[in-house]
Amino acid sequence: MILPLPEKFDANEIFIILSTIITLFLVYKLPRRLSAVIIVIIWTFNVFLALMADITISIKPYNFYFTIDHYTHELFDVILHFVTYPTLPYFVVNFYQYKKPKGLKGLFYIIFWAGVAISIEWISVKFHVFTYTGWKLYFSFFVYIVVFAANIWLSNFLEKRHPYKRGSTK
Amino acid sequence: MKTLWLFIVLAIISFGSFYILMKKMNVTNILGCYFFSNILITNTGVIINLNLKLTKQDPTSTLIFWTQKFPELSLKPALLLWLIYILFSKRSMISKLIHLFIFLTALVSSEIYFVHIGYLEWVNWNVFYSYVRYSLIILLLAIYSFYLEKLITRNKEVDTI
Repeated sequence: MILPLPEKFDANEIFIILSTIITLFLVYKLPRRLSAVIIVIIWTFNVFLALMADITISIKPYNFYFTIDHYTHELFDVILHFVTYPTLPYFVVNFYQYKKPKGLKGLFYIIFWAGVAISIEWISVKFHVFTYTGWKLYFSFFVYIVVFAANIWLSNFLEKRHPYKRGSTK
Repeated sequence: MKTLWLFIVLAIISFGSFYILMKKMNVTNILGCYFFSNILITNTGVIINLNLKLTKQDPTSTLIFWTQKFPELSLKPALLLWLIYILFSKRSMISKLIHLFIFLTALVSSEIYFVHIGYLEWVNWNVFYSYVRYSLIILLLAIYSFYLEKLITRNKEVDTI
């Protein structure tokens, strides 16, 4: 099968569906401070990062973890990569662009969001969205710091070229 | 190991070519297309290899893994981005078709090379399927690039993402 369906429709699938609906609702409802171009690039960037990580360290020869029910790339993996994962970096970048905290404040901002991300990951581990086979939760914390810093850098880089125009969004 | 070094050198050349491409194409479009081309290459590759088991490679060898990973992140996106640039340029249709065929052949050749050196095994896969795979990737990437360029030109806000 091109994209295998879940072996059992259980807690991890329900968790993915619910978290995707909630985060998409928040993306839609919360105020935006990003231009459409930045949203598209940030979204694509995070799908790329999620795929690169999952298709590098979660498959053989590394096998540090697997997602959902098995080692193959199943339908719910695609939902995770394309919809669920990118929403959190979107929030990080979106709220960053309001006050643009610099220096120590900027660092605390990234650490705060890395804390949020790791909490969500901890919950998702409990729901068997991720099953660690060598990976540790605290590794993710450092990964999130790097990922969010890269996202903020990219959004600043793009903001200069495609600035947000007040009044053009809700 | 020699092959890995070959692809590292090709990766450096590929990233160098992005610098030239940046002078010809919008930087934002290059970034978007680079990320999206990787998404397409990885997704189709994983579906073919892991899900459909149409190709096979030694899953325990880190050397084989990284030798294939390097061109996936550098050479292949570079070829795809240059092709997108050519397809949207003001060249004649014949010139575009010739370039399309040359770039597609280059992309397929990299896979044939892996098969030739024993890093990849085609179980129920062949050259024609590879051409189809990369043609699909080019089509999707061209659609993405076209709409992204339109968005850049308008530079207006999206209300419904």
